[in-house]
Amino acid sequence: MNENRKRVLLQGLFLLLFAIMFVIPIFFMFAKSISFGWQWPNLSPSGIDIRAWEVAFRDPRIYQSLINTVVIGGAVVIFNFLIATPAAYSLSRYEFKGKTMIESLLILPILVPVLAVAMGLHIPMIRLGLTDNLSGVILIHLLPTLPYAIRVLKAGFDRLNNDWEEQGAVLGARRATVFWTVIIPLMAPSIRSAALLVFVISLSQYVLTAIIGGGRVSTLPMIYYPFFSSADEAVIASFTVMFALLPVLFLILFETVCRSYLKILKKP
Amino acid sequence: MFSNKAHKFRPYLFLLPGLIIVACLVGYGLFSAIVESLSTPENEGDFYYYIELWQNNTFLQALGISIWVAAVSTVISILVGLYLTRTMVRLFRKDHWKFLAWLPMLIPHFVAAYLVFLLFSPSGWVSSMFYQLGWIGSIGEFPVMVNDPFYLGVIFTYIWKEIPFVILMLLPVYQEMDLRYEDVSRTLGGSKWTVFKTVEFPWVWPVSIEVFLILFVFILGAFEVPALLGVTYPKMLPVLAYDWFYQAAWVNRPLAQAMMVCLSIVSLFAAILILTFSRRWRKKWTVRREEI
Amino acid sequence: MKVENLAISYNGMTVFSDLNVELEKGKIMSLVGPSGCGKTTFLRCISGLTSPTSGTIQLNGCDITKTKPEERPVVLMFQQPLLFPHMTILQNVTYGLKYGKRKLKKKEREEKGLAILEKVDLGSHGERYPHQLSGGQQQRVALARALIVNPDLLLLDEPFSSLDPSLRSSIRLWVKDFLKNEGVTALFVTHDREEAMIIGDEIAVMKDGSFQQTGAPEEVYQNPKSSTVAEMFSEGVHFEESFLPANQLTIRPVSNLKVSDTETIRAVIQYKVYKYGHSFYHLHVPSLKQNVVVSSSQLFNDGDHVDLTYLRSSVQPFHNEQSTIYFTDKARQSR
Repeated sequence: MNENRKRVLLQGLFLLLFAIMFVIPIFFMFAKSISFGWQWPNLSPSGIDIRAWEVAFRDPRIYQSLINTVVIGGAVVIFNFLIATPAAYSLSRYEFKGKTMIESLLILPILVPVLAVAMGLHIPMIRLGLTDNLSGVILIHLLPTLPYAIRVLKAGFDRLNNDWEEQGAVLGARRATVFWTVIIPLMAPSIRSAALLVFVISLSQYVLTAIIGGGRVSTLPMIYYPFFSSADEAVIASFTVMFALLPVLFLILFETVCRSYLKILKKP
Repeated sequence: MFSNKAHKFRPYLFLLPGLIIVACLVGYGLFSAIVESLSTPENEGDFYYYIELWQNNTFLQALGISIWVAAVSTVISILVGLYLTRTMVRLFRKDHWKFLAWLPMLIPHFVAAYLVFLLFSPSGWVSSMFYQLGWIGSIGEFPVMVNDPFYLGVIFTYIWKEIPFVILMLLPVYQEMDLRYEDVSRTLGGSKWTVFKTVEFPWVWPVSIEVFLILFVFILGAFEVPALLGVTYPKMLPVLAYDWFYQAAWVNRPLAQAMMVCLSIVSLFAAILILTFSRRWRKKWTVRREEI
Repeated sequence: MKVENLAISYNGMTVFSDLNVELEKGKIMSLVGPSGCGKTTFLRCISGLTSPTSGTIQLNGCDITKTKPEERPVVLMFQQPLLFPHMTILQNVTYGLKYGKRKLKKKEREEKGLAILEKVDLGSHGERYPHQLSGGQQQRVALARALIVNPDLLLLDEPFSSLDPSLRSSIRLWVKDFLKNEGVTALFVTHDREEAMIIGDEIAVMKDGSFQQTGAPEEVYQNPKSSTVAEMFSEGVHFEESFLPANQLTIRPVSNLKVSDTETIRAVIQYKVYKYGHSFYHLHVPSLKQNVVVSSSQLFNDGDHVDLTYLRSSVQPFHNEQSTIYFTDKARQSR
């Protein structure tokens, strides 16, 4: 009984802490973006105003960067899956020579400052024509994302028992078929986590995009930074809310894709 | 199932795209950074820019402040994260609680930086509240915590962002750990501290040190947060490197490259050391577990 | 099905070597053995999930040793039902018909699926999901899923071990009848002697990576060929070279009276149980370090020292001192 009460108390405390740390600031930011005349030392705004959102959406640069951000993020997610899924599968299911070495090599990008790599790659990528355009930025965004994608997917494969694949095989389905019809649906939670993480990391890149995109590829962070020093707090707040909303929209889109995949799977 | 000889090359084939990307980007990036940093102006000796760098006061100041920020944020994040994971592990078994820990991961670093700015800057909300409570009389009395020379705002941001990361990294360890060991140890009369030392520590230690490494290197090399919440002097290393990199006529570029090369070499060295250690630890302890 | 000289070793450790066994079409063979004796590995070899180091596996006269698991007309049922959680029961059952070698159109597939679900008494559960079914129902679905592709051979790896005992005894009878009605050739692995006898037309006793004896349940039970088999599968006491079935033993109070043609061994009554209308005494024989169960209508108390008497002629010598396999002789003859 006592243990139980302690646990309930603990849960409550944790929730409270979580709310203070993470939920309230975000609501606070949202309030800031639609507020009017909220100056020091007022604890609440003097009125509601959606001017900041109008400013944000009327700016054509923002519209373009929004599209760029989503395109880059989406492409980075897709490439990550194409590269990380076989790698994670291999690391989880096979035993082979040099496995530890290869595994360490693959997490190298998060053990070395990405800035060093990006600065080193600047001139080679200019020569290859990969700067100042989307493809170069997508390529460089693979750097900070790939290790995480591999890690999350490998954990997913590890959790999944090998029996499922064998069960599919003895029922007469080819290995590739089993992979698409059984393994992928069972991996859905890991796939979702990996996709979200990769998308958010890509969304958060400023310096990589700045160096490789050369200022020509405008993503949301590229206009966020100059805005930050501007005085219009409400506009920055609306901008920030946008950043917080993008992953949520991405998640919804991703869930829709997952659902339709399962539906297709169930059709003949 | 995979003993078949035809499958011998399959694992390597599957890993090839990832290895190519990583090797090309990281390998070639570092290589050309080294080449650029080793270039020497006329009439100067080898390693000119490295010697120049280590005599540069701006760099040394930046190095100091970077290590300070990285060390303080990492240690506090790990300690708090470890404490929260320990107390909440039974709770986090349920998916919706785990989801809570996931949520903050979805917020980009600079958004977190902005939140810290909104709340803790002299004109921020906390300052307003202090004024309303009568604790301070004017805006100037509020302690400078954002864009301050001690980088407190940057440290706040990193702690705020990395605690959930630490929890998510440690959680699998605690879930894998059989909590009954804890019960056994306790019924045998072990104190809470003994329980931690003998039951949890061996499991948690290797992962914690890996997380420490990842976070420390990340904070040393990350540009986004200090660019927003830092001060012009001293700058943190990545901000300084970026400045030099783009300074007029690219004259300071080799210097910036040299700085990042040094940083990479130290990071790599630390990584090799720590990874070997943690692997050895883990092996040792898994063997002992099996003996039990 | 015919297996010849099958051997597998793993990292230099031999799991089993020189296995030879034959099974007629439509028969069910039970493979009994303690855990870790290699029976699961043997099944995996036959299903193709593990490749043997040497030896051949034939099915209906074709060598399938090198055939991939998905192309073998063999289905393995695991200990767990392993129903795909994201598919309905009907989709689970028709999986092999949708993605396997013999693909069928949707309509035919569903008809067959519903028909087989009807047979396993789950006709109305097609639209449900696996987690809505009980353990026994799930195992029945797994059976239906395995049988829908008409395998030439069905392998069952302790399929009832995850079920609770009362469910277990009812489902195994049901499975036996079902397999017999469908005329399925099956190899059934278990460590439970009773289960092996209920399901198998034939029994193969396995220990330490080799078959100790194969034959009809009654034969193996009554005439074990080695002390190992006697210990694992039969009831009675065994001496170095011979076996004495439990039903040949009579319990008598200790006496020095000698009757011609009979022998006596000393035993201690451990406890008594009542079963099937009789009383059974569990006895310990100190001189042989063995336990035996003997039925008797006389009354004894726990801890009593008693004599076990038997006719000298009822002792059966083991036919081969070495544990050779029943089928090897037959195989040699057919060659």
